[in-house]
Amino acid sequence: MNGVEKASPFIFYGVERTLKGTSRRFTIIGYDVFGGLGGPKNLTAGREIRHAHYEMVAHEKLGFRLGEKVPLGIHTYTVVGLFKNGTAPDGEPLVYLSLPDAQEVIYLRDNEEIRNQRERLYRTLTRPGLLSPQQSEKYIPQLQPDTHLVNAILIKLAPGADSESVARQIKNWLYFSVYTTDQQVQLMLQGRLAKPKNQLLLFRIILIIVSVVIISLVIYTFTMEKIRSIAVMKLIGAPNRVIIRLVLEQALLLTVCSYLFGLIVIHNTYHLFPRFVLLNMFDDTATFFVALAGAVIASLLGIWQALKTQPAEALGGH
Amino acid sequence: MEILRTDGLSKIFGSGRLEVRALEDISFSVSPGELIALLGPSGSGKTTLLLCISLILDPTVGTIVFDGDTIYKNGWIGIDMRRLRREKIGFVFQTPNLIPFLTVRENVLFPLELVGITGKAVEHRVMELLEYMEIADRRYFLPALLSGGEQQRVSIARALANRPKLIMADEPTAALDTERGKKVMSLLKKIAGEQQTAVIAVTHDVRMVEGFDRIYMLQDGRMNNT
Repeated sequence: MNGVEKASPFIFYGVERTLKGTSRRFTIIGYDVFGGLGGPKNLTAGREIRHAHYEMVAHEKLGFRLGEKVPLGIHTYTVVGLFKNGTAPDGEPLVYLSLPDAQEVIYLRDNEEIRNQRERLYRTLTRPGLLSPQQSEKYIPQLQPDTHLVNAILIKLAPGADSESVARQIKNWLYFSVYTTDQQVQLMLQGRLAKPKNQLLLFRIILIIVSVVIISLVIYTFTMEKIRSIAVMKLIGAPNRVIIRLVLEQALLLTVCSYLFGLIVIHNTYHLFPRFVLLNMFDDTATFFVALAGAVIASLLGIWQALKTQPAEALGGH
Repeated sequence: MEILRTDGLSKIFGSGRLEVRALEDISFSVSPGELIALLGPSGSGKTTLLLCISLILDPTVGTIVFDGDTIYKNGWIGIDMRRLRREKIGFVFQTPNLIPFLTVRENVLFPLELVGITGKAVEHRVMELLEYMEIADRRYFLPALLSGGEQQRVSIARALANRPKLIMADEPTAALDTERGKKVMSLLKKIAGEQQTAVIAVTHDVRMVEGFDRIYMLQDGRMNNT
């Protein structure tokens, strides 16, 4: 096809399997291991899959070691590579297999299930007026589900090709849905990730409100402890802006220290979160400015208390 | 010229049956370099008078003239009271009331920064004051590390920072033993004599007012010159 440099089949699906005695959720990706698209990138250990069967590359979060044998379905796979960056859209760790292996793990059923299905098909086909028992026996193997299905075909555009025109060709000619990489990202963000994203946003808003209340009470307590000093400052003629600056500086300092502490803790522990967490500079910066705004709000109670302090409170003994 | 003069100053709290006359017809004055004491038992109106002439409490009637300007005549006359306090009045309290999270040097520096004095002049003035109070070697200490007498000397240094025309001292010896109390009073006398600063000291301890130029007795809100 014009504008297409390379195309290769691709399959991915989420599974829940027992690994080392624990039930784990992860996403399997099957790709053409002989030069196809969609394979693992930036391995932290080992190598990519080089053989057609029984090798896997896994996310470090699954806890596998290089060379470890992992039973999946009816076969055992050897871990040949590990990686750290990369996750399924729902944050589950990824496992890469060759395309046929991945198809086998998802579609291959155990013998009992195959026998049951054959029996059900046999009963259906031999109903009066349909097929004879001999004809049914003949057709049943051909009616078994195809295990060579893929989810998608990945396409690499030829240099200089227009993605819109290639997409149009595929849509018009093959009647497939076509998404560019950017569209895939948007689809993911607005679809599958939108709800968790909103849940996290809500969680973050609640945390910020709780933080503002806590900082506000801390600042209020600090201010109450300094009432006499504030009264002295007022008595010796400190203008209100000096008092406000004092309380505000205290709130901002507390917030900046808390923010730095939180940032260090997050950047050193996010890998322990059960799902893959992507930290980005924009979120950190936005959180910093929201926290600063929170500090200003939190200091209002302290400022109010400071401003209503009478200079006369500096006179007399304690 | 007098630094401070009051004429017929009265302060009444409440009204009707609950009316309390805290000050009644108080008239007195203080000139540069003069040291006067306001003596009286508890409830005599000493602190109320101090609050009124420190521009913190509104008198009910009367006149206050400060440094030649009438600033109160049955009501405040267009003055920035905080500005007047920070530029022309120094305060010494019963307890030193130093700001606990600032060092000795920073406590003395604070009033200078409030009036916008910066640079080498500030450092020079702070050292001058701390040496005058014989406490320069403690300049980097926090107040909590000083004795009561040392803290009171720092508070006097702070009161003098902006070269005030008047120092208001509210029971400055109450928290000190007799010997240290007398030293503080001597220091106030020295300041009045050497720097021509007027000093008004409120006290209930007659032993502390030896050598003062004038002593006013307050009793039930009325003043007698002794």
